[in-house]
Amino acid sequence: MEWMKQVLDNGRKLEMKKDKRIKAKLDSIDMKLKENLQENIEEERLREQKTLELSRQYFIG
Amino acid sequence: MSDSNNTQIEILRCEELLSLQERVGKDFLSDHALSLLINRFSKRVTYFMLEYPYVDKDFRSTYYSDFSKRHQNINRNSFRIHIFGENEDYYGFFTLRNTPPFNLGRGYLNPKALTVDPGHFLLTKFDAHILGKTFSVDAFPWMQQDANISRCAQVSIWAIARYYSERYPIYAEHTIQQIFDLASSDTRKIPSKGLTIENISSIFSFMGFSPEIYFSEIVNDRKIFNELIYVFIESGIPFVAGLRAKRHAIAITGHLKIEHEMDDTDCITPVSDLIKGYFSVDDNFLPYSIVGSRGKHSIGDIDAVIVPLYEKMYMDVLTLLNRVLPEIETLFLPHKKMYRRVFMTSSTSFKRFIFENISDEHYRSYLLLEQMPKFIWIVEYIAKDDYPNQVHSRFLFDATALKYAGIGMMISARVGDLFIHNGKSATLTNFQEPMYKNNLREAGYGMDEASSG
Repeated sequence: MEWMKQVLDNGRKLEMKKDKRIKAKLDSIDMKLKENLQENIEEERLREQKTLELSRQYFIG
Repeated sequence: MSDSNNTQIEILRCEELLSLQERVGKDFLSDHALSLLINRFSKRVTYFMLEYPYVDKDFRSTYYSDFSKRHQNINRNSFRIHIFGENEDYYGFFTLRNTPPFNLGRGYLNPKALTVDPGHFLLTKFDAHILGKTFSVDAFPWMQQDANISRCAQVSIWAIARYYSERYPIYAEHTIQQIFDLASSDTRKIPSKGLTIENISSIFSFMGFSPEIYFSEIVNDRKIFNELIYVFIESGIPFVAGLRAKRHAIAITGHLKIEHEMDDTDCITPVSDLIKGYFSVDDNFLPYSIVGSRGKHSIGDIDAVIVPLYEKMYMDVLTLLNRVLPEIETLFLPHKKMYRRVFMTSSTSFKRFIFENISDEHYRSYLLLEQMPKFIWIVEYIAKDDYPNQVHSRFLFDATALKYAGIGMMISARVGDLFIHNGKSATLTNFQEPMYKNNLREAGYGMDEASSG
């Protein structure tokens, strides 16, 4: 199982460094995604309601 | 060939379709059914083999539930027509049932048996036993509606359900009658009037799927809706497509070859924009009929999609397409012409791909050791000049993420030579990676390529 030993060894060798620039970008996306949370939840409720109504309206086949 | 006291199975070789009709009679192969078959078989097909009597489990299920109650004497036996090429190459079979004019019963036909455009197909393996010998065929199930029990909606569900039950032990097999029985109705059910979209979804639920419904007017962006169609097929998930204006339902089961040569846009383009058509199970035509370019229906005719998802595929693709990706593309990607591929896969399949395709040993091992959920969404960006050989950037998302999880749903990413994980990064020495293909094959799904018929 030499390959397994290599995977375990190599996995620790990737040097991951804290990256402020990347972190700032990710935080900015996170903020955007969580903006207007209540509005998004309400919009989603309306979409679900409309989907339910439409799904009963049409016979296909 | 007829019912008699003869207990021997009869097998006959037949070179042409017209002589097939002479052999079985118009009660088993009407002019209407014959017209669907004529000119559709490829040159690879050299002869047909008739088998009688054949017990078709799907026809028998409807026979015992309904057809046996009719005044007219309907034969419970079917003919089975096997399709062969040179050197006994086996291309599958279809059955003929005594339900004129819609005689074409259960069929497992390989795309190579038919004149089909090149593309990618969802296929699974079926076995057929003839006189003690087993023949195998890769196919997507198909049948014609009988117009009494099964209509196009039931046929679409049946085809998808049979595909899944043949591939996955966790899904039970359902005959066409069992699928018919799963729908509720406040009026009489026979003759069948088809199904509502809610019926279709609830039947999938009864069968153990976690279905989701999308309507084009609710998605409210035709480009995104078209991408949605592509995303599920690329993820190896066949689905029922509703063509509401035509009151018709079909199953989408693959896509035509991607044509990127003619593309002249200069921004991020979803691969769905390069696909001119999809393959379908449409009970009005033989399998793998095209929706889109040169097809009987256009992609724009599809305005409802009912997707039988696996229960752990929680994260909605619309969140990804509408909210997450625009932000990521603005902040992370270079201003360059790129193609976007979005699809779901199992982490098991993805790790196998990583194991076989990543050459940076440290990066490869890091990904292999990373804990991942059962299903992940993958978004690949490929520079136009590198298509289809090299992926510029790849983002991984947790398909089991909580709703409104924010950027926490992102597992990791590689943007060019930069690997990103948990707010940290590493520069890679070698970041040449091919596109992820053979999606979900290990989990039993699979996109198999077939050449022109």
